[in-house]
Amino acid sequence: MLWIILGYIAFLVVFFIFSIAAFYHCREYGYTGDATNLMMIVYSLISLVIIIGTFYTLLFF
Amino acid sequence: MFFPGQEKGEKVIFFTRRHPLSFLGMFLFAFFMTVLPFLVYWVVSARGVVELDPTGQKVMIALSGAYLLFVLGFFLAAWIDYYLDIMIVTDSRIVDIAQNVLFSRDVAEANLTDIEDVNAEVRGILPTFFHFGTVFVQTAGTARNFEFKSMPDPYGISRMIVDLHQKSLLKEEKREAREIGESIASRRENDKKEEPKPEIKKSANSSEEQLDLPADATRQQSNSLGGLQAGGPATTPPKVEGIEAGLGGEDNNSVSHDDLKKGGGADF
Repeated sequence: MLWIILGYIAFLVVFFIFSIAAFYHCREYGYTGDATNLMMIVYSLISLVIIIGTFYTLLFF
Repeated sequence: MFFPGQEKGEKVIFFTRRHPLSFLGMFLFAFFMTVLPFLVYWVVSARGVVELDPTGQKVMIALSGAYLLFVLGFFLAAWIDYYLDIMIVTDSRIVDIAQNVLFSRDVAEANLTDIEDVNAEVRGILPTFFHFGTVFVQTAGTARNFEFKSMPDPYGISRMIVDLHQKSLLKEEKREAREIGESIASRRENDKKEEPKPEIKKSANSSEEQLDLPADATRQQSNSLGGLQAGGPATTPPKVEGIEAGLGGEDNNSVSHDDLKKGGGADF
């Protein structure tokens, strides 16, 4: 069980670094009033839902 | 609107991204990548082909979570690739910003006056029905050519670029004419400042007044008269040999007393 969670956390670290790079592009090259901010919010929300759902399922089911 | 690299006083006339339908393929791909594995797992487990123990189920849940995050990241990268590809047309140049996924960005620009040819192409079912296509812009010299893919209303965009190109050419011609006019005016001003005023000299021997003009001014004056010299105090009459000889010089054909004594006439 522990190695599954550790493996998943290792993946999350890589995913987090990738997300920061993507957000950097959105903030650096996006323009005021465009959809980059909305996209970052939606992406963050969906990511959080998946991560929390996965951990919840792993730990409590 | 402001974009990086925009010059002072430069006005953005047109700004567009690719048509949203050009992203439809990537959207559908990401959607099927998300749904398809779960659909397959649901069908297989429903038929009882695969039965997982609790540990296997947890591994499957962790893998599913990671897979969903992977697809989400893939979708975001594709969206950035689509959304940050921008075409900007200002009153003086055309800018093509091409974002290639992450960490690769290409910005190219060309002056509107350098544009030689603009073409628009609509090819395919979706582009024909939804009016989007490719705009090709060819530039003069070694400047690179542009290819704007999936632009909404490509014919309108190409017409607008041609109009702006003609306007910028007219503007350039006007600017050049104004600069030439200004340079001529400033040169005339300088010439007037440098040219000394003619001094009036009274000669000691005679009461004639002589204008003491500099050599350049005299030459310029004679040139301005087209080679003809008007009569004036400083001008000298041209030397004509025949006339001068006839009027004041020795006349070889006149009869002198010595000639009469000899009994001859003029030496013909």
